[in-house]
Amino acid sequence: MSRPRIQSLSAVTPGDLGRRHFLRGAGGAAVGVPLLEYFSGNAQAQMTPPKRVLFMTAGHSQEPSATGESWSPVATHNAALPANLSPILSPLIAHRDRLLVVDGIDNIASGLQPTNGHNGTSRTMLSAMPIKKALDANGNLLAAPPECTIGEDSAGPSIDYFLADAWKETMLSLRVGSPPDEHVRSFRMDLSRDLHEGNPQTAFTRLFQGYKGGTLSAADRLRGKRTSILDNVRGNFDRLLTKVGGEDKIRLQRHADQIRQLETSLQTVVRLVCDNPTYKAPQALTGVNFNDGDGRNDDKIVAGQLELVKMAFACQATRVAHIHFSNIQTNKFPFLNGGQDLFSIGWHGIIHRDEGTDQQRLQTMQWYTKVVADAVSLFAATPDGDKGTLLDNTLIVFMSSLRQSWHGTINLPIILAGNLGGTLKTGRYLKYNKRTTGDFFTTLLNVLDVPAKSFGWTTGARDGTPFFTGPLPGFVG
Amino acid sequence: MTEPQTPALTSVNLEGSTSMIQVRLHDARFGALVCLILSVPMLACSGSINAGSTGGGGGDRSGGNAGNGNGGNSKTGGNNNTGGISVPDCPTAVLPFSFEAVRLTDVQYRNTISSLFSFPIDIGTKYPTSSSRYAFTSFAAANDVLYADLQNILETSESIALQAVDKIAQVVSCAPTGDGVACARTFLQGFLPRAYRRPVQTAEIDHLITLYSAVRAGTDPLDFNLAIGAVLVSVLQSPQFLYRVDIGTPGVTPGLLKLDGFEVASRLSYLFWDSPPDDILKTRATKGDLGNKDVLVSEAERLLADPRARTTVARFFSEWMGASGKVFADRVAAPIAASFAPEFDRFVTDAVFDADADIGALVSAGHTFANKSLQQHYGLPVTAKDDNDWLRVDLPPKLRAGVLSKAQVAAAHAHTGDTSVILRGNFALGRLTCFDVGLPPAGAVAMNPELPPGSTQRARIEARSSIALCKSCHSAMDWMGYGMEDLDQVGRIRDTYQGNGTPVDAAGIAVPFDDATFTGTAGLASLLKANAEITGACLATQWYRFATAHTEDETESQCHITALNKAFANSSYNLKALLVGIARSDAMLFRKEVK
Repeated sequence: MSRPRIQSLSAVTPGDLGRRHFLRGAGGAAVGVPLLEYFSGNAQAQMTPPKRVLFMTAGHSQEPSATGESWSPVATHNAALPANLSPILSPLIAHRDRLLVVDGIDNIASGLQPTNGHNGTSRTMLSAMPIKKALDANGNLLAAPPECTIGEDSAGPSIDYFLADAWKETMLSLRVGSPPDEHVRSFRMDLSRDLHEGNPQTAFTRLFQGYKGGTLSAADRLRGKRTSILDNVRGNFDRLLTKVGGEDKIRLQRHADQIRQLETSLQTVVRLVCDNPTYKAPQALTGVNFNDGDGRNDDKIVAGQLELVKMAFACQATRVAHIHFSNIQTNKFPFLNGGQDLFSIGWHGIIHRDEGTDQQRLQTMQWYTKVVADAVSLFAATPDGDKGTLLDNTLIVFMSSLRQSWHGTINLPIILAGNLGGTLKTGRYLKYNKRTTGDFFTTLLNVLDVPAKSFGWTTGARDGTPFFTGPLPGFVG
Repeated sequence: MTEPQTPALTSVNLEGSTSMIQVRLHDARFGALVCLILSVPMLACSGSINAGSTGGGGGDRSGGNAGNGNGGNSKTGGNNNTGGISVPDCPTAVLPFSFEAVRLTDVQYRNTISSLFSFPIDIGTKYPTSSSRYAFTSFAAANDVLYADLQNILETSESIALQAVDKIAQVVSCAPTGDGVACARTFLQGFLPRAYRRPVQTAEIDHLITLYSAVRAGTDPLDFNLAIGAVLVSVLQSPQFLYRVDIGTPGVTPGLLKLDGFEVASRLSYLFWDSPPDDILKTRATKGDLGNKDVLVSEAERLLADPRARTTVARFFSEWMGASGKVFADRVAAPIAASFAPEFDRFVTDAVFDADADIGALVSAGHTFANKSLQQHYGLPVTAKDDNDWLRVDLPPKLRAGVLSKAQVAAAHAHTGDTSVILRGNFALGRLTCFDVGLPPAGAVAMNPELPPGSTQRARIEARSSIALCKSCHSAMDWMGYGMEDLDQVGRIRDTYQGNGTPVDAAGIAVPFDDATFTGTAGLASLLKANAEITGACLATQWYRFATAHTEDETESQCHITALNKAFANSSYNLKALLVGIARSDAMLFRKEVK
């Protein structure tokens, strides 16, 4: 049982100016808080709001047509972003001065093992590591690693979880689409895969559970006993584990280990800085299927999730969030076409330019950058600290696992928004040459005050590109 | 090359294997033989028929001796006159079969919870459903618990426990006095054996009493009712409840564990009913009757005669056809889409339970069950009053293809807006003949040729087949799929292709049947019926996989599946005989001992 972790310590809320703090404990019971006295309202208001990060990740390529560049704003390294950006980035034009568009970052870890177009490209995307099975017991790369299939997991944690762990935060893990199978991108510190939560209401309840203004309900009191109950459950696993072997033992042991992990996560204590947190999606989500691979309500879902991220960041329930766009096969995008499906066959075939038109491809790719623009607008309109906005203290990181329509992971599409309290000079286009996700994530960690020397796989090179060189020069500006 | 993958169906081509028929794929378009047993595994299309050893093994089928058992190198090849089935020696003593611990599927969980309480429980929707990425949702791997599932299971358990606490008088029959421990113990003595589906040990009850006592004390001591709730939350998350785990006991045969009566009872009841054993099965288990195969068979027949079996059996056939759990409301009007799956279920349950049909009828019958919406959909005379009026109707020749021509199946292997030659071909090969081509090799997608927009499906596929890497597998898949092009993406007869109006060319070639040519889905159905020794062996394989929750290894294929298939063949491929036949399999009574 780990010691309860105090999470966020400071700042004020949007609107209702927090003067109270809540703890999210192992269950409904409010936990006694000796530290409360440290944080009177005045003390908080004088503190600098903390840095936050929202990752938004997709899994599609960015080549709507066979000829011509549609993503890069066509500018030289460190130049100011042009007024019209680029076709795919055009929804972000209004936020041009708040952006960094980064080119030249390759995911070469994907090539460390055989894979189809998605399993390996996604699993290595945020970890900059090969899959577990590509390594021997000493962590060295096998001469002939096995194929990265749907069952494989990364050999390293993903950047979102790594950052949350470094900051001692709970990762707010959200998903737009069906639970990922090929497109698994996030791995916890114990390297278990994260499938993310689709329903923002459920995610809200979990993140904020435990705050109750009045008396505890029976459900709260039962939840308050989760630790004792889960201990008891693990005892039942231990009893059975002595009697089984082989695959049964592996399966049941994994389940038991995960219960221990769940127990630990329930020990996390969250300090909030806003009164009476409630959640309401901007567009009603009643009846919405959060596992819909066709993505017919993806616009409403992501709007609801952005609202939750905004609230969680503003209340400082956490500082790290990830919105994972998992639909990549059969998306229909009716919200881009007056309620009618934009096309009848799967989007996947369209992205690969088997079917569909360049205009259809561009339209769908622009939807994702529009969502980034929505996030920027929302955070820019949310107060944070004494006089700033949430955007002033938040970095939005948009990435896709693919750039080329043939499942290529060279020159990944990356957009950053927000200047982290003036740390980053935005409005620039950064064009690196053959740098890696390991270099990029190390750079990110450093600007987020995590003194990492490297991230991911650091040994050797692939096709002339070293896996790790160091932080990106000129990134801060 | 970007089609969905079904990993569990992949069967690796084992050169020199005696249990599989090595198949050489013909380049159907040019008539030349392309041997696919290549030295580079990444390039090899692992085409193999892996279905109950229909032949003697090792025989090259190019001579047209399909399924005659004359391959010659199995121990008893051709000696048993069982309708073309040869059965190798399979002493029980050395059979390494496995039957893994499997978490209760969603439907099993619901049925099991219902059996524990005398009032309706709202289970909600958080309990993790089975992955559809495996051959069957019954598979152990399809029900693995991921970390993300844990909180859902926890919250579902809490919700159920709270509903039980609200009706505690219907859950706990005793009145608590003092610390309530005695009453809690009484409750568990009755409840726990039902939850665990077997008698329990005192230590198992003691362990839960420890929890009971702990939550009644501490910082927020719970009252008796809520403490029982806490105990329920623990039980409902414990592996003894959540999983079906067979422990077994060592018997006379080293390495083989014999299951006890309650474990066998659970295997049978969850197989046929998706439910825990009923009182009759539990009584038989207590008396030790379930080690007797004749009793097992009679119990299987009893379970199968119960209406509950219809649901499970329909799901088996639906999952076999890759058509389970799909609704095609984006392709046809909602009332029509809602009728597809019921039509399929009615057809197969009628075939199995009412018509006592054989496999030939299953794959080639010329009738269906249709309501008003479906009659209109298929272009049949409308005789049904409404959509609740289901009538048995005869079908026009092109739709006389049993399960194959059911709209649910035709749609399941097509795209939203058009058919898919690849999906249908791969489905027909893998599921109907157990000819598994495996997954696209690494790099295949990147090699996908780019054609101008508006190119026909056949042009795209032919461009793809011009690439050596693709051709080896796609020649088998695509030509099978071409032959099914006479049904559109929602199972209607079509004479012209969508969009360009050119006449449909439904000439196909069935590689597993010695490159027999056929025309249309009904033509394929006739081939499947005529080659019942291949189709039947494949179905027996599929039922074995469903029943044992895993993909067999080679020895199982040689022994258990061959035995199952032999009985199936001896019954003239009667479907009910196949379903019951599993009860006579050693796979239901034993498991491998794993250190």
